Amino acid sequence: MGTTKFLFFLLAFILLMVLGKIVYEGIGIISLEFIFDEPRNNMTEGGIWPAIFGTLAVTTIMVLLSVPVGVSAAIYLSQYAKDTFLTRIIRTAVNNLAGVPSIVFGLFGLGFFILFIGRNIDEVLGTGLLWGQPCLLWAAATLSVLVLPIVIVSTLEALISVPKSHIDASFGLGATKWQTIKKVVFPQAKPGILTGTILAISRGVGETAPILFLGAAFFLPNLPVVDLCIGDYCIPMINPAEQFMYLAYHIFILATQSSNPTLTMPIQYGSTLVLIAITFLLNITAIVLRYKYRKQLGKI
Amino acid sequence: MKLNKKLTLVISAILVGLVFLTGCKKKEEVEKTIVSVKGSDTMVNLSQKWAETYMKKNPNASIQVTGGGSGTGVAALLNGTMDIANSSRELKEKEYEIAKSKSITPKEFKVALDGIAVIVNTTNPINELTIAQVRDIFIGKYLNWKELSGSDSPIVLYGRENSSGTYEFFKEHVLGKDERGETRDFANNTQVLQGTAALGEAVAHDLKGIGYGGVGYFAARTDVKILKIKADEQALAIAPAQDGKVNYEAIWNGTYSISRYLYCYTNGTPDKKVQDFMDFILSKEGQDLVKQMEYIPLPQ
Amino acid sequence: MTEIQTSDEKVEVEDSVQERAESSLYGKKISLKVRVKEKIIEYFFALNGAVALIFIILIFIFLFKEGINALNNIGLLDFIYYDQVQLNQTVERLFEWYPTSSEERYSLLPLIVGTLLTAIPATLISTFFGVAAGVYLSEIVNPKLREFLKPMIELFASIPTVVLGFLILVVGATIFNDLFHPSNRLNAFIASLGLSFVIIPIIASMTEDALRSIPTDLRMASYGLGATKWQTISRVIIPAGFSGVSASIILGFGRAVGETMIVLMAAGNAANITTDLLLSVRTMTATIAAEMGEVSQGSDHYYALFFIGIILFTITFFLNLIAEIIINKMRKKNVF
Repeated sequence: MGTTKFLFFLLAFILLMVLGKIVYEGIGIISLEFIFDEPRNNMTEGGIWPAIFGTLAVTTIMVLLSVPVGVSAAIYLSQYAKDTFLTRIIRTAVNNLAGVPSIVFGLFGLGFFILFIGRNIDEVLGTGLLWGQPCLLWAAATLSVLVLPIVIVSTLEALISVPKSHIDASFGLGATKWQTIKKVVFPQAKPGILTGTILAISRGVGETAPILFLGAAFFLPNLPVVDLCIGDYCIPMINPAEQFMYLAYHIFILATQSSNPTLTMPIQYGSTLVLIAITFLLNITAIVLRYKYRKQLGKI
Repeated sequence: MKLNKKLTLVISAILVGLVFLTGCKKKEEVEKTIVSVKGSDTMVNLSQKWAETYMKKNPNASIQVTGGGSGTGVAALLNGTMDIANSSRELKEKEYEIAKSKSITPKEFKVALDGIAVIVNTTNPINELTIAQVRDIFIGKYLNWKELSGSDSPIVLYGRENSSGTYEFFKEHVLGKDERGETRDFANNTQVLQGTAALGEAVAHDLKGIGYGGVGYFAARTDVKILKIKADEQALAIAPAQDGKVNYEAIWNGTYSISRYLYCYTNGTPDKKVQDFMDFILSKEGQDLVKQMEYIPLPQ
Repeated sequence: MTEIQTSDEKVEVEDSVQERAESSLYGKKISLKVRVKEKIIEYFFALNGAVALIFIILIFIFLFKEGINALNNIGLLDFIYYDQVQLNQTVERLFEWYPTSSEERYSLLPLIVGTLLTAIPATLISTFFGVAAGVYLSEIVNPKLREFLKPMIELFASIPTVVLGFLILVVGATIFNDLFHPSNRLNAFIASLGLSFVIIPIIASMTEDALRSIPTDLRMASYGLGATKWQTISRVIIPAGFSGVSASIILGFGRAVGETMIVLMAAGNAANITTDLLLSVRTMTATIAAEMGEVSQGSDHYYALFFIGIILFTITFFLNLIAEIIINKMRKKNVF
């Protein structure tokens, strides 16, 4: 009774201490310059913009790859699949994929995306060694496999909670299955999909192990962008073939390979604070969203 | 539902905005020349400094520096993914063989020197050791500081990952070969840290600890003690750095024996963009930066 | 593979739903075109539906594709010990992980020991705290407060592991060192403390789910027989939800085995074979993370790292499977 309460609040206290430490040490350095400046003088000065940009770039591509696939998978599992042996295996596979260690995803990304797909693309296109090496695209692709279960499970939860009566009504009016999905099921599941996407981004932002050897770089002065030129005007776009800096990886190297810990410590706490702030904001948004649509469906 | 529509819109807008970053800008007249540098963590700070200064002078050049260890740099060079490999050790026979099989001819540039300092905690009473003693400490022959007339406490060893050139060099030059003609190995209980920063941090906090790393990194630090090293019992003990100053003379004339060249390797005779950068490194300006970064410039 | 298709074409037959309903009422067949299209859409979804399964199989294939060479080049026995011939021709049997030595040694024993030495204490600590937190949330706290506290656990779970690793390395290790003077400042125990941060939320939220799904009748019956709240929890609720709780512990253990950044930064990475929690250890995950970046592709060392990956994948795969089976059994028993 009292014991469990005590233990629970002890945990809460430890957690608050951890967060407090990060905020206390990191808040002093946070400024617009810190966010939008590049590291200078061996990362002892300047900001972390390349790391933030790299993180945004990777997670953007990750979302573009994983969300359509994950949502389609959830639609299949909830609307088409009968309760067959195969469906059960697929469900088990989703749960199992969620439990694969992240470092194993890293090995998989190296073996499959870089050495198999990338090298073969290079063979076919004759691009030398452009795609057959660690780069932004393959890091994002690997992370998208890693977050797939999160997207599938969140979407599934939302799809299952669409009232059966609505679906029956749609069929009763003579709509086909696809029309029903498009017009009835999908609109009601949107918040769930959004939640899944947000949680996936939050997970992807914090992952470090898989990208250690998938193209995260120690220091890159230039952002991984490429100019797409139409005539005289150029639009800078994310260049998926480049290496990139990554916020989580940046924290790792500052902790282990900093050139001068006394000088880089504030920067490190600052980076940590930014990372924690990003993940917490995303998660809180997801929690609020979920609460809202559950309330709408009268589940609470 | 209205709210969700808005949220979806906002998030899509952000995503699209990311992919097409900042709208249009005038096309640049000159293409940037990109030189990618990868390898030794010991050299990554120095390389960054060179790159920063060089890019200030030549706005059209982009030098991309990544660390990861000498092995990584060499592997990247052999895979043909890098212009310059930073290495804190000479290429091994094996690597030359692999290069040959891939029809790559590594060209070697000596770019600077580095002394390896052996460090202990500031509270450790020991000030000097012979090379043989250092060796026997690291292969696990001595287990207690009192065997070396220190305090009665176990010796705790700190080393680096086997991808690091510092590790390779130390293994080869200090540990040497045993009676069977095999190179000696570090003791099994050596703690392995990912970077010189983490190692320095560990030794600074561990009264029983001993570690090794580039002298430039420790010269200015007061929280660890750099040991004086002597060739044998009778010889004069020489410190690679004293009172925050690196002892250049001792390293140039070899009286401090644990020192090495730092190398850059290119594939064959480099093309102009790479050659220009190498020329800058070897120029007076480049060598002054070496001094500024606490490494040892090439002897004049 | 992961193609992005938005099969968002306009339906050819854009009659109003009303009209369609009428047409089918009058027995007019749905046109072939529409039927074919429906089938194509179904297959498209089916392909995506199987994507998780496809990737599980792909991970399996590609780990084996690289790792199987290790068995050919190194051999199974060499993954256990290495016989070193001494000068006097005696043989010393070594259990060491030393891939970069001139006599390459690939014993996985120290790495497996290191993995267990961090994962087991972490699981024990997390079970203690996690189950307590789960019981508190499910049985004791009032529902209003629960609505607020449950998301907190999710937030707790969302802290990136690299942050935990950094804090343990910079702050935790120093505090622990000053208080207890362990033989190694970075050791298995401190790493397992870090791992607990990752596993406690998993065990807490799964335990809470399992206990909440127990019918209220059980509680009422127990109270009716005059049991106190604490007796009800310890003798009725926990036994009833036991399988759910044990599944969460198994999953938590799987996560502890597979976690990388925390052990890489905080365990000290010395390949000791030891049972002393206060010594540095090197785990399988940290070994892959630290050495993969620099090995030359196609070397024995490279294959050996993939082989470790296979072992990790297999272990976690079976742990997940066991947890899954337990949960499914529980559902069948209509507890859920």
